Amino acid sequence: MKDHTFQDCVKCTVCTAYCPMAAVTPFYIGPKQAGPDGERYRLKDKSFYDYALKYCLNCKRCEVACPSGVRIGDIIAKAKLDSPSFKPGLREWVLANTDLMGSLAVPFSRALNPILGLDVSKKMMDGILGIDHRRQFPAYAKETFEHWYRRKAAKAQKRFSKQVYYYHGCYANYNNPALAQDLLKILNACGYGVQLLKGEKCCGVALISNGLGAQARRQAKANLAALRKADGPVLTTSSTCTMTLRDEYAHVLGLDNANVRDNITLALKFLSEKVDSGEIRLAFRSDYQKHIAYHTSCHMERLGWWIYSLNLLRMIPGVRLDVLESVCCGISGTFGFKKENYELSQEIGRKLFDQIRDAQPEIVATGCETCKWQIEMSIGFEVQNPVSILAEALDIEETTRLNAARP
Amino acid sequence: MRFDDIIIGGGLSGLLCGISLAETGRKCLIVSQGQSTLNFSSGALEFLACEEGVSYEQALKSLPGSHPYSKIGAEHLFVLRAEAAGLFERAGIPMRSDIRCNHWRITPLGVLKPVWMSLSEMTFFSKKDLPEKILVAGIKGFLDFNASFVASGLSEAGVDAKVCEVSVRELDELRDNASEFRSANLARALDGYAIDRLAEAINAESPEVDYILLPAVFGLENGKSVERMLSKLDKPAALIPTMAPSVPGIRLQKLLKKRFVALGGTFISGDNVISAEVNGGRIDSIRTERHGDTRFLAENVIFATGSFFSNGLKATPEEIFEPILHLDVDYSGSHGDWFNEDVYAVQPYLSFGVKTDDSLRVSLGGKTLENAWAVGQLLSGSLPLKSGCLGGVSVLSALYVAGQIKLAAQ
Ligand SMILES: Cc1cc2nc3c(=O)[nH]c(=O)nc-3n(C[C@H](O)[C@H](O)[C@H](O)COP(=O)(O)OP(=O)(O)OC[C@H]3O[C@@H](n4cnc5c(N)ncnc54)[C@H](O)[C@@H]3O)c2cc1C
Ligand code: SF4
Ligand code: SF4
Repeated sequence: MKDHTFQDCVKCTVCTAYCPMAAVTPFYIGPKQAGPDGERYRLKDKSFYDYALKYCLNCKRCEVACPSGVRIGDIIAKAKLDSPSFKPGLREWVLANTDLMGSLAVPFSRALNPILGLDVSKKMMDGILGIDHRRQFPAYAKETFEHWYRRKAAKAQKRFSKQVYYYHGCYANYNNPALAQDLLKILNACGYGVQLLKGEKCCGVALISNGLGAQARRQAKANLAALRKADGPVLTTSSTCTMTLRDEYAHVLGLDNANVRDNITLALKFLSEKVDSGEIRLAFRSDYQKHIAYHTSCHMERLGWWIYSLNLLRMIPGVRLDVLESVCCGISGTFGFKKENYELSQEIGRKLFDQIRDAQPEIVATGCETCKWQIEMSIGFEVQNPVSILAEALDIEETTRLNAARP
Repeated sequence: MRFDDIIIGGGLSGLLCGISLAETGRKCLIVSQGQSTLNFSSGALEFLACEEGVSYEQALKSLPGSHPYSKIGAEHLFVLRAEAAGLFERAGIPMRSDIRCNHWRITPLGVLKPVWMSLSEMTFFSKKDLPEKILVAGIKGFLDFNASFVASGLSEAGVDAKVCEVSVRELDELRDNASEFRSANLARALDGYAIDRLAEAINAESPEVDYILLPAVFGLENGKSVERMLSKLDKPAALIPTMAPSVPGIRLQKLLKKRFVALGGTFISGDNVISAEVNGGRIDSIRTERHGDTRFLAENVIFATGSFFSNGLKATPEEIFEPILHLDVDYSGSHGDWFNEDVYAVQPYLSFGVKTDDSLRVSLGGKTLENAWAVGQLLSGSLPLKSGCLGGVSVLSALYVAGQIKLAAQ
């Protein structure tokens, strides 16, 4: 399957002017050359421009800028997967298998978290694997969300007449179950029970960007099977998982997801629309006061769905909201973890860091977990998913009452 | 999701309309498919191509009744020109303009061209008192700006023009690597000390000249690099647009968007409005590609989708149409009559566009839609190359429509 949008390129180089990577290094040829230009050469030689493709963050900001609708990011991502010389190593395998690493790590999290933070371990990972020693690894949770759900929540969900599914992804499962619990709290108060998919796997975004195409396709197929079984809307909390399931499966992996695509939606979009239509009513705590800066992650920008987060955050009476200019934070999933990319990653993020420092918010809100790691590690501001902010700001009792009274 | 006003298209006209409305506290949404033609434009806006000493009022009289300016009317246009100047100022964008007549800029071919508004670092002198000796400084290996073209054009106008080529380490690095040596890449490499050293290199070449001209490759994000460059040069200087993409154009786009968002506006990039729902002579809501079933509702809908280049208009061999709603379009003849074989002649297709009444309301099947308007290059009747009304139509039609909406809301 070829992406034929490359033929629509009018060679205006607007994409390159908006590419965050081309902005910080002369070694990256930029989206126009790596994407539509390269595609013509790659018709003859699959590894053309290979040396440059590793720089691409898959942030899709070039696609958002292109006046001609060329799917530049998809073209580059596919070229990476198809190229014979793009060989993932041990490090790529370790970083990309978030699912496997998470399930190995969580049982030992109490012992593992401090070890991952130790200087010696960081030096070892740096030396042996090429994972930069300046990176902080996100801590693993003591118990996975799935495990907690089965133990504590599953039964209670059954009493709701309205049901939704939740695709939690790796981060909420292994690193931040509190986020998933916050979502449950909100949805339950709004009168919805939450079910998990049968056999959810990691969305595979890191497998795609690290060149592990065959494994990515296997996992995607398993996810599509699980998604097809869902008999209600499937909600998500991560912008990247959402974009991967909805768009990358079809455009990059060439899989047919047409019959499930529209059923997958961000939880915040679902909530915002139900609130707007009057199907859900929210009551907020009167004592909640926060200065929040909203950061639009790259994949949220591509989805265009940040508007729903802002819509909900603006409903909270005690919130003062700064909307930051949408720019890349520089981490791009696993990219920023690699030793050779650390400096570039931080240089790209500078525009965001400066904006946050200027705004001096109490919390930065964003729909992406890797942006959270990057911002917290680089400048120490607390970052939360808007779902968690909403859960804290809601008057849960009153919200439950408002929605229970309704038919 | 509900808004007061929805604007389709985030180019010059869409943004100005949005800013003007948002300045009075209206809740506005702009949806824009991709970057607009502003990214290719010079950073100078034309109103009408009238000669020095000729007032706009005189020149307007010669326009046909179908021209957007004729619909808006000379008195309105006068007020709106002043309003535009204020709007740019409040957005923190330094524009030079005179509401009565043109000033002049130098094109990449060294020709003097009349403009209405221009970024203050563009050329500005009156046609009569051109500097006697000008240095045109090119950048080594940068093919999108040809210093000799500029110089030979100036020589024809009687100027003693000389040329030099300069570079700095940062640019050498860029040129020697695989990335493209285009204006936006240059602008990113040129900040801080790189600018200072580039200025030094130019100063070394300029002891005998009165004025320096150099390519507009400074300041993608804001005007700071431009200011730094101009302040480090020993002689008065101005910037000349390069081949696309245009650095000042990109900066204008970014600054206008920033202003719109700071006013509380919602700007969705990279999304495409695909349909609109019409009920009882009004547009109720629109839908976009990325937002699927979500309906965006509004009191007013403004079409600022540009012309053929931006997909505001589409053409098949049989017809010319407006793709979102199939609004009524003004065009004449059949396929063979749309183009003129002589590329320098007036091109009929350039004046094709969406049909509107005198208030710039659009129509569908001959019936005017009460709450839907068209602005900018999408409008029919402008004669951009002949009358030189490119940016002016976009700016002034946008403010004209915003003004009517604000008045009705009072
Ligand atoms: C190459 C070039 C150079 C130019 N240089 C100059 C210059 O130097 N000076 C000057 O005064 N004028 C110049 N112009 C004219 C320029 O077109 C106008 O000045 C002005 O910028 C046009 O603004 P606009 O908003 O009407 O349209 P556009 O800039 O065309 O913007 C329309 C926007 O609408 C979007 N859009 C279209 N359809 C949809 C849809 N269905 N859903 C969502 N979004 C949609 C497009 O993606 C685009 O972003 C130039 C034009 C071109 C093409
Ligand atoms: S922005 Fe789009 S049309 Fe322009 S060069 Fe890039 S891919 Fe081509
Ligand atoms: S996806 Fe991002 S990093 Fe890759 S080419 Fe496009 S803009 Fe650049």
